[in-house]
Amino acid sequence: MTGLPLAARCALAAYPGWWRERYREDQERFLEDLVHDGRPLRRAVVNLAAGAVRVRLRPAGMPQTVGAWRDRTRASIAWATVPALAVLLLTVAIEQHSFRYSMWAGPHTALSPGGRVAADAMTGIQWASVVILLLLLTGWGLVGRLADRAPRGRAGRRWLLLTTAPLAAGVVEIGLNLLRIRLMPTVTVIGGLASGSTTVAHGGHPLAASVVSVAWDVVGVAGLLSIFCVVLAARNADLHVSDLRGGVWLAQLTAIVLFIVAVAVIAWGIGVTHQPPIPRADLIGSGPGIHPWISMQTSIAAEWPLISACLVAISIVTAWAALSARRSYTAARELLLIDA
Amino acid sequence: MYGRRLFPKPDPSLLVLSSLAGGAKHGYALMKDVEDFSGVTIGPGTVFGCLARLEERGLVEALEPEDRRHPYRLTAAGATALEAQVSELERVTSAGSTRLEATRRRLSEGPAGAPA
Repeated sequence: MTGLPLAARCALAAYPGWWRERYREDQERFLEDLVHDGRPLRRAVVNLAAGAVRVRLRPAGMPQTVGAWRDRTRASIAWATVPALAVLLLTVAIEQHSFRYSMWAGPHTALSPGGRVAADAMTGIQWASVVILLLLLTGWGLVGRLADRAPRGRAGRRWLLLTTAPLAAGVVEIGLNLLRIRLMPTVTVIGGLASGSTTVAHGGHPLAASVVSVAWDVVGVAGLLSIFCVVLAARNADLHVSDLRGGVWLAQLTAIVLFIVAVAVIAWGIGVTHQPPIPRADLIGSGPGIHPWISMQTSIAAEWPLISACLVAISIVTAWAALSARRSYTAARELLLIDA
Repeated sequence: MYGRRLFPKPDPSLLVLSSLAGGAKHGYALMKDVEDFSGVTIGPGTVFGCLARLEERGLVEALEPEDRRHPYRLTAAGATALEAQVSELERVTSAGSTRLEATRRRLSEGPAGAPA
């Protein structure tokens, strides 16, 4: 086993637990025999990786035990919910990018039907990102409820650390934001919001504020990524089948929301391409009642096909995982009834 | 359609069952045997995927491990399933052979043998 290259070990590790328990040694010996006979491993490793995907999609030969189907449900929930994090980061990045680099259209700008579709789609994407955040927080809450069945001793302390990571990140984030506001210079706007306005900064500690701002961004991203810690904590908890009910619902809701986001992004891309250019005089800074779509058109419209393709791919994975979570949960419940 | 094989490779399950009909084998020996009699190379992902599916349906069974690997052998149900599949293929190949022979004869007779 130790003589196998990393790629082969990764391909073997990609199989689900029940499979590894049953076939891992056989597969290792197969690879060792290939090496012994001086045959190339590359094709075998690719074939193994493809086999792992097939087994995960269609669990042929999976033992009919509650534990195996419970673990499959748990893995499917993780596969359905964790990609939402990527979508959330993407939508936050898009919004941040738009704020920094673009002018927006004023409230009296005449938009074509395409432009209106794009504006509505963008509002939909913004609301969907809020819903995704709420779903992830709900998932965190569901894992937190398992505290009484967490491992004991040192493993228990690690479990607690993993579960409370998002909370710790949130507290640090609030602290850094307060510090940033305190350190930031006072800004006076001269000449209103229209294009060509001038701002004057005075007082405060600009350099320290910049450093804290960077730390604020880093902790923000780390806070979102700490969802992985929660997934890890859920993996280590002694779960009952009934504990997974909420997770299955969460997986299905996440799949629906991500599908809506994918459709909205596609609609937005089609909409902006059908909106004629807006006169520069109509472009102003941000504020209430302002169409947000133009910022996207001027900044990341070129990346729209790539973003759409990524979202569609994520949406398909999530939908499959949510379906798998539902089926596996039903199978685990049925097996539990048979056992009883 | 371009780039696709006209006749796809034989089904790996059929190859695995045919190999096990010759006696119990572990994964690597099975792969080599299939390569010898059919010219088709099947990787470890395919071999064990097939064995898992066949084992689930009771067509093959794993024996006690020898040197950290399980040999697999055909069950009675597996032999029946293979027999049914082979006789089906035999019907197709014998019909194909008979008709191919007739076509060869017609072609050797020259253009006069063209359909009316």
